[in-house]
Amino acid sequence: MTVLGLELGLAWLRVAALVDGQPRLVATLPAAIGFSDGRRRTGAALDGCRPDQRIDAVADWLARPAAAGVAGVAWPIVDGVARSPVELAAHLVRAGVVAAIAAHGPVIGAVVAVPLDLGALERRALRDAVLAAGVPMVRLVASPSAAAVAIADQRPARLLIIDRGARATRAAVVESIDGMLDVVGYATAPNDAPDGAAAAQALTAAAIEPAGLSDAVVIGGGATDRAVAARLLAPYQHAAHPLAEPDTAAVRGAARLARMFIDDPVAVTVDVIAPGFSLGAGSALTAMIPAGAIAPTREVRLIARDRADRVTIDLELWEDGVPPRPYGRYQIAGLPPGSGAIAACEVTVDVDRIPRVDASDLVNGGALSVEPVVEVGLGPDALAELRAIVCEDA
Amino acid sequence: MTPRLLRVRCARWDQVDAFLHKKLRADGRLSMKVPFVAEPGAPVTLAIELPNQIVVALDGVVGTPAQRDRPDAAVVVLAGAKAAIDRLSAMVADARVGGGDGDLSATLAAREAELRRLRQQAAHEVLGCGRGPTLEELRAAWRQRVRREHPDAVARFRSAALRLTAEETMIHVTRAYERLRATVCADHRAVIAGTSVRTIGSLAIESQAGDGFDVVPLTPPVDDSVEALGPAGALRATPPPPVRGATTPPPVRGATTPPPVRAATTPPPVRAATPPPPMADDASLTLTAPRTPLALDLDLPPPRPGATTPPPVRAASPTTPPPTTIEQSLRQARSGPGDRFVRAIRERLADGDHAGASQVATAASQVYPKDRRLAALVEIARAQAACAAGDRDAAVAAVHAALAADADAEEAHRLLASLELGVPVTVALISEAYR
Repeated sequence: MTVLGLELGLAWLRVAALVDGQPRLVATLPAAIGFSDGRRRTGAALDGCRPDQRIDAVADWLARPAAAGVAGVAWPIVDGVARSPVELAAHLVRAGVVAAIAAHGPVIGAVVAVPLDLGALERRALRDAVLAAGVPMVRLVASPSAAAVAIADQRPARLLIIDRGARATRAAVVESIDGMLDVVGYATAPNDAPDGAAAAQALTAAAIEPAGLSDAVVIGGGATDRAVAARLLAPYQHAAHPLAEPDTAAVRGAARLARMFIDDPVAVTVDVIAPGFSLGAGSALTAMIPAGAIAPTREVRLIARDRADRVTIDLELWEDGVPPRPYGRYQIAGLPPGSGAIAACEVTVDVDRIPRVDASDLVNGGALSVEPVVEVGLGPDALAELRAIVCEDA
Repeated sequence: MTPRLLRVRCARWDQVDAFLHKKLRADGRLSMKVPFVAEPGAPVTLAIELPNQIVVALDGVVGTPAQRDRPDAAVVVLAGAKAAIDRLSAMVADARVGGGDGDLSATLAAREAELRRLRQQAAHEVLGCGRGPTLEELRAAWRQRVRREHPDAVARFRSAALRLTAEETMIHVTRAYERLRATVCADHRAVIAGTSVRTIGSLAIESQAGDGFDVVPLTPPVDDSVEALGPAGALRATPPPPVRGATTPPPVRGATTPPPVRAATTPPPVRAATPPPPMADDASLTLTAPRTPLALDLDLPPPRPGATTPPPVRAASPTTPPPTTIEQSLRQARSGPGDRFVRAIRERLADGDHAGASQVATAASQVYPKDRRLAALVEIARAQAACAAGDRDAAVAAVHAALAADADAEEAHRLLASLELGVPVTVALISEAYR
């Protein structure tokens, strides 16, 4: 029995297992998936796939909705079959999970390290994918928090963590105090921006001067280039800690954090929400969850219907941005006939920064049914169905 | 070879106790029936499922039966049995002395009772600090509660009920923290950074600080008498969002959410537009809480690609006041929920902004996948992009696709007719059709 840390990047899927309290890397697979002869192909087996039989950079596809046939956002076609991005990611993650099971026995939970600014659409799709890959419990944490666990362990620390990715550099200031990890400031800059841009902005956001840092590290695949890592750390020499394996720091930390599924947590991680969420009911889009709120959080709006004979209300949930991104469309049903019915609509954003919508009848009491009409995520039945497909190798 | 998995389910703690002391021997040998042919040396994993839903797994191998072992059972020799027995014995003992963390039901009951109690308390009582905490005290109190109440702290139980209770408690605790934090910030010019709060003068913080880098206390006690007003948790609804704009000094707050790089080019749209009250459509009327009058009509044109500042907010314009009565709202929204998207896309097409039109059309199509008009407009935007690239064939194909999606699209019919007559392919052609 073991717990896992996972990290799905644009180039690689990394899997680490917690063995005797220590993280151990068990699989590093290209973040690509192929299908031929009706079977999935990962890792070295991808070499035998034609270009139309494989999808690279699976993480890039995650924000596509789970429903097929939506205009302009068709599913990728692999080996002649349109497959949902969640399914593709689930197959890929399953390959890593199978490797972990073979090495260390059944998997009971996983912590997935994700970019701090990953949107809710991608978060939901990724969580569904890992659940569909046969992992019973999943928690998403920000990569800097995961890396902070790997680096600082349990000592109090204030770390500047610069994550050099394939396209962007993300910097975060993480405080690790008394078994709690929180990101107090972060910033993202494209890789072609000046080297220190992201880190300087993160420090500004955290209202901290460089002298206040206990550690400064560079993680991510781009940090394996020592020259790049040295340039990024140059302004923070007093706290700089070059890492031996910067590309696996986040996944090793995630595996440490996954201890929470079997024992007391190494640390609890707390995130703030960015961007926020808005609720659409009719022609208005109303601010709902503000950016900067601490997750988990919840807000309530009261929504009345305009006609007494209507028993449903349509809602939309949008992720703020320019333009805003639709997260899902829902229908509140079960309102009693007659005048005066008002639905109290709750949007809860959980610790993984994934929203959900609930509603209750304000006048008569009792919960109302909220059915997703269009949503990126999978319902329980669809998830079980996908799990059966993906895990048929078991 | 993949180990065979053997499951032992214990619904009660006395079953765990019996298994430990009557079944499992101290040397790690276990005699049990197995649903496979047991060959000596074959690897097995024994999974003991406990009443608190924790599964303890022990690795071992199939051993050679001794004389005292039952002939119809296999012998499993487990590694690390001594440590497992000790740990499980401790958990059984914990459960016997009245619950604690070893017992899911007792833990759940205790936490639900705690949540009920918290709902009756004022913010400073929820956090367990004084009525006027300093920033340092406030943050330390919140951190202490989070360590205990956060869903991560109970993840080991793998119980959905317990996780949701912890989430509920955490929301309550954080709401109290945010309320007090906003009060302290407003009164004493501190700033919010992520989950933290800092004084203006504390930017340079000594890294040698022994207690974990907390800020220096700066404030006299703050009276949070607001908390005494009204029942806590009435409707569980909408405490004023405490950390938004007005209560926080702008320079640092602006930089904390969202990432500054994005913030520089993409101002948060929701905060930008404050004036219009919510409007109703054919299905509903939003009655937003008066303390959060932020609303954005989606009709507003978002910034054009590459623009660094948002265009004027049309709904906020004094010349076009938003509807203020239900009748006005209904009249405006009677034509269908997807109409606002259609209008917004057409405006962009008329302006020649095919990239913006495509963005809005694609997003709207996700929300209303069955709306034929939106599906057609996705294609028209593509046609305009093809015109911009001078690709006549692609433009004609896209217009055909638009008509396939929505055969009633009059503009698309006219466009196709023009194109087939040999009219030059230009962006203006489509702009004119949708003007």
